[in-house]
Amino acid sequence: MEVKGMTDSNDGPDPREVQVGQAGPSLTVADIDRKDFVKYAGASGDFVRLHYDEPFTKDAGHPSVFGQGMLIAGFASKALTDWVGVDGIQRFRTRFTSQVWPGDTISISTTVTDRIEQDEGLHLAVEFEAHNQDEETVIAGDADIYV
Amino acid sequence: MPYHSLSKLESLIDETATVATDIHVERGKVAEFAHAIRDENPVYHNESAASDAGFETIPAPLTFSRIFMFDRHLVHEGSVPFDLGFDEHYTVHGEQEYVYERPVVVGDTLEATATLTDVYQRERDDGSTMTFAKLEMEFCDENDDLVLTSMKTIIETTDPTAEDGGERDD
Repeated sequence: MEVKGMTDSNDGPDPREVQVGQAGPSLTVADIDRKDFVKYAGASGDFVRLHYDEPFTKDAGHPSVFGQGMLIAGFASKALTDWVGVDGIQRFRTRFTSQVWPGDTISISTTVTDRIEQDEGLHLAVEFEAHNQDEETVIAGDADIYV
Repeated sequence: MPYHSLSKLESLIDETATVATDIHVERGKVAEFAHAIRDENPVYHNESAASDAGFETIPAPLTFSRIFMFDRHLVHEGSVPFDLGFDEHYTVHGEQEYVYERPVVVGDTLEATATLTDVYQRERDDGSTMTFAKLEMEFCDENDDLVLTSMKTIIETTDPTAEDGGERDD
């Protein structure tokens, strides 16, 4: 489906077949815009000023408003939920390393780090990482998936 | 710096507070949130797509529960139910974790309680102080069944250029 701003997405290998060390799905989100920060603020109710109030944010020492870490985590979560369904993710953890600025392009990659057959189903442990166009990591995390 | 001393913050550890009640997971809001994270998967706004994907009704995106922490859902003002005295200019979200018992779906009515599980400080090389607060939140549905647990770390840093840690907003 064509969505403005979404460029490459790799659906990843079949989650039932993927092996430890293999890449899972990947996703690129291009042309991050202040409008994304505003849309996310409205949708989430998160009105922390650092994400939309430029005078406030510059006063706090930043060059401009920056993206909510959870917005970027949302992009990463999409890569995983498109792969195994939102009901396939039992645990999702993310940490926020660097800011995301207007104009950035974010690339998200995933790697399978463990694979265990359990009674509840096939359990995959996945690590993910998102970086910007300068290869700086912006968020990173991990997830537990049941296929 | 936070407006409270570290020992005052530490005294709040293990306190549990109801954060939000009567959280109705609504169809329009789920669709709006999906669009905001650029997720156009029809499962989030189309009943038959949800059904085809094996859901009884439209599910919420994975990080949707973020919205329960703000504004109209809250029992207290501000997204943190404990008075940590963090300065909004200098407070950032450090880490976030969700553990799901089942997906959140449209039609759910949830209640959230939060516990401050840890507070600590670290000195940075430039002499400023980072104060970490870890909050654990449990979301239960109308049957009192746990749906998900959220664990977040927020970090407040002093502004190394300010004498007193910066002005509080508003």
